[in-house]
Amino acid sequence: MSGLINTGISALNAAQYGVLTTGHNIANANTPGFSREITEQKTNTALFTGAGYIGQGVAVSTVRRIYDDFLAQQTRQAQSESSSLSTYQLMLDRVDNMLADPAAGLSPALNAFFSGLQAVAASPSDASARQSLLSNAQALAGQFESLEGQLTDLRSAANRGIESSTSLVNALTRQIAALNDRIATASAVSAGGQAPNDLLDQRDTLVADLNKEVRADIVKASDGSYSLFLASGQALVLGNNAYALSSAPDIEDQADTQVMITVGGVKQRVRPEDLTGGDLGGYIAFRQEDLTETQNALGRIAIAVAGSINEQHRLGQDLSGALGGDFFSCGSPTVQSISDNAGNGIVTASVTSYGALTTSDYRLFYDGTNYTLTRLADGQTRTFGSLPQTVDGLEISLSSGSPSAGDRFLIKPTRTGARDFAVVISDLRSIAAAAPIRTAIALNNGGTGTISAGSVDTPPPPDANLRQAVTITFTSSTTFNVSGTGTNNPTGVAYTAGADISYNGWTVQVAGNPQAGDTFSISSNINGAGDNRNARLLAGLQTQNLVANGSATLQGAYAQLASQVGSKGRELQLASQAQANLAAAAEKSQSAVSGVNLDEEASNLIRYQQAYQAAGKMIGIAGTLFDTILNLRS
Amino acid sequence: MRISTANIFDIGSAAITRNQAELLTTQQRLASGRRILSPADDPIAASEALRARQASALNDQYSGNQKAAQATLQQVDSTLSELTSLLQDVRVLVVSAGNATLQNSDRQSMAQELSGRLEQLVSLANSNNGTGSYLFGGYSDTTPPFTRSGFTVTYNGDQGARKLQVTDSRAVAVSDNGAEVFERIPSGNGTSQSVFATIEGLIEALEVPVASGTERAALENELAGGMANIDNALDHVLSIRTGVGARMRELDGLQDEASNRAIELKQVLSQLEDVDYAQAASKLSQQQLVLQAAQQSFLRVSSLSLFNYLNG
Repeated sequence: MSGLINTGISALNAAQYGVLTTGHNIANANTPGFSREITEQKTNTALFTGAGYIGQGVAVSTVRRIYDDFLAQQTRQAQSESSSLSTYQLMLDRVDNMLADPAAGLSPALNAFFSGLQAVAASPSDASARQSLLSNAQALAGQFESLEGQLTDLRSAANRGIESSTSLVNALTRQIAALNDRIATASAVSAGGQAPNDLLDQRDTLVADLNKEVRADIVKASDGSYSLFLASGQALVLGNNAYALSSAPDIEDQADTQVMITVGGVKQRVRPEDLTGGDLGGYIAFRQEDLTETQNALGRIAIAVAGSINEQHRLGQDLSGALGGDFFSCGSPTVQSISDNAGNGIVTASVTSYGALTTSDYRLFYDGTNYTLTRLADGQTRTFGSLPQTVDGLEISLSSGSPSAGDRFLIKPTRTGARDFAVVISDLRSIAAAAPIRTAIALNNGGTGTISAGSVDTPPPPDANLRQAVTITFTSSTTFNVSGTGTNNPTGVAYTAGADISYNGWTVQVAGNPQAGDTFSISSNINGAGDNRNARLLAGLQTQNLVANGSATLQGAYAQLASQVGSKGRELQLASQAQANLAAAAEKSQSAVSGVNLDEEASNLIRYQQAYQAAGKMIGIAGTLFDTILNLRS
Repeated sequence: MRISTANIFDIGSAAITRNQAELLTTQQRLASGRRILSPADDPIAASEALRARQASALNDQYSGNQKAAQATLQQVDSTLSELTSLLQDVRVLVVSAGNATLQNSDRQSMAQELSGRLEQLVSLANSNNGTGSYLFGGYSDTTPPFTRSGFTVTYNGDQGARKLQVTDSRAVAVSDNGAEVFERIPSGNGTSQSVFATIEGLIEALEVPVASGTERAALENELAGGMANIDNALDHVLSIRTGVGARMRELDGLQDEASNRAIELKQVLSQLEDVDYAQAASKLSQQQLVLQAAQQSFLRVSSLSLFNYLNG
């Protein structure tokens, strides 16, 4: 009878484990990362009798969690990618909205500035038109500053994001390392060799959380502990050791925060391209790919505005009769010597042609003999034996000292262009709306010859003799003499109607049929307050292709930037949505296997309840059977 | 397929959240009237809109310049029209001065009248546009271009032509310089004769007393020469007015073009950016329906549980 009682008790125990496990599942139905557990039952070793093997009841061999490594890995990767994209998208959205705001972007400010120039062209001596041009110029500078300020704020936000993500990674890797230890101890053969399911779930949850910060791949050791590695192969966790990340200004680019990893007490730089996935990957991708490009593109527009307006403005004449000066100032290229450079070479860069500038940063590397210049945006390199060199509108020179082999310099040609954009002119009278010269036809000319208004030759500075009085005297209908300081007084110059006649930095055209004795004069434009020729030339810059090697107008370049960021935003929106769906699908598959279904648990409850009741009944029957035997005696 | 209970809730609430977000976006579009809330909604249209807005601002600017040029040319034209009638008055006076019955004293008073006309002429030549900018000074438009001392009138301006940019490629001269209008008047001998000098000459001739036949012949000779010069001046002013009129007609045409272009650009902008209300409104009710369905079905599904039937 004891056999039956033992069998009954084993059944009672098994049913009780079943109820307990089911209860545990029900209790943790909403615990993140919990994997449902089931009891695994097996029959006890049977008793051999002459009649064969008599079963000895049931035993629970283990409590197993339902967990699929492959699905979990898929979910982790999808989530890692998804959180990377969504962080990236959030950051880019801010740039996107800022650039194309129809009321506050750069475009309205540029339009207003050029309208101001047109208004000055319409009434060049009108103080209110000049005042409004200056105000519009200030507003344009303010807009550059504000956009640039917002971009710089975004860079700080990305840097802060990287810092906080780094500390989160550290907290997670420490906990994972600690759990590795506990799991190894708990699952050791000496401790019974059973899997500590809840600890495993906790660790898997932490690993999933870690992957939401940065992509980390798992290698599972024989003792059950996880080793985690970055995409570069750099270990984050090995057994019960966690390697701490830290953040510091990047040695390669002081403006950026970089991630370092401490191995054996030594901090090593983790290359940005090795930090993929997760928030960290999102921040880094945004900063490296889009923010830098946007800031540089905005800077390039600022440099082109300042460069083109200044060039033309310096060819004009202001209300006081002086030649025009600079209208705007803007940021110059910056060069950073990498802090571990061994040599003392100081490299400088300056803009030689704003139209040829690109939106890329550059790295200059000296190998002891040659310099290699890498355009970071597309990786194109150029090698030369000496400095200075002019590349992409930029002159790079060695201003002092000499570099040692292995020295590097980071060159940012347009990064500060917008930040340091300002209006130089403060006096209304200093706006050079007029041209410095004017032309006249002598009243007594007998022929029909006419002379053009004249133009000042580019580039500035204008010729020193620009405003000297010069007379063109026709000696016949086909020849003329020129007299005046700076012209060397040539005689018998052949006349071609409409051809350029250039002296002293100006160019005029004489047309028609002049006669011998006819004279034309070129002189300083004294009292030319009503002259708007230079203002019109300045206003005309609005429709000229000044940027990117003559492929875009100032506003075109801005529209291009906005559309580029908009397209990237669109792309990210779609990719981020798709990845979120993918992550949701992966989670759903994982949860379909590991998640708790309360109806299922309810039915299990009934199942184990009935098993428990049956087992109890079985023990009861064993008792009555025993009684039957006892009653035989009496 | 197995479904975890948590998943039923997750999926249900995610669907509701998503539907709410979509509904809100449509609502924002309807409320703002803009189809593109962020450039990422339609990057190509957003950048097209940026360009269209720039083109529109430029068009407005040119249109403003055309109006300003038109207004200045109008002033120049009416000044030239006054100049014509003044010259016609002078011509009538010169014709009557030839009358043989006139006494020296009559001619003296005619000379005085002519002197008054000269004063008027100088004042016409020094017309300004009402904001202090002189019409006929060339680039030197802040000081009166002509000054008179006795009967001699001098031009202090220059030969510059003030122009306004009225399209990308066209700049229109808004006035002619004083030397061109008043001084470079072709005379019969191939040289130029200033209209002031013509009138000065006539005044001087009329002031000379006529006693002898020789003096009479000299006066008639002067008057005939002066008359020819006045006729030349009238022709000259007419040809300048013709030029001004041609520019004004051109500006009329350009203004029509600019206002058509403005309408066109507005339409382009509207097509690029504005919401299609009918479409958006029907989308809104559709999304509302979907959201309600998601909420109701979620309630139904989530209330199903075996535990409802389990008695402890």
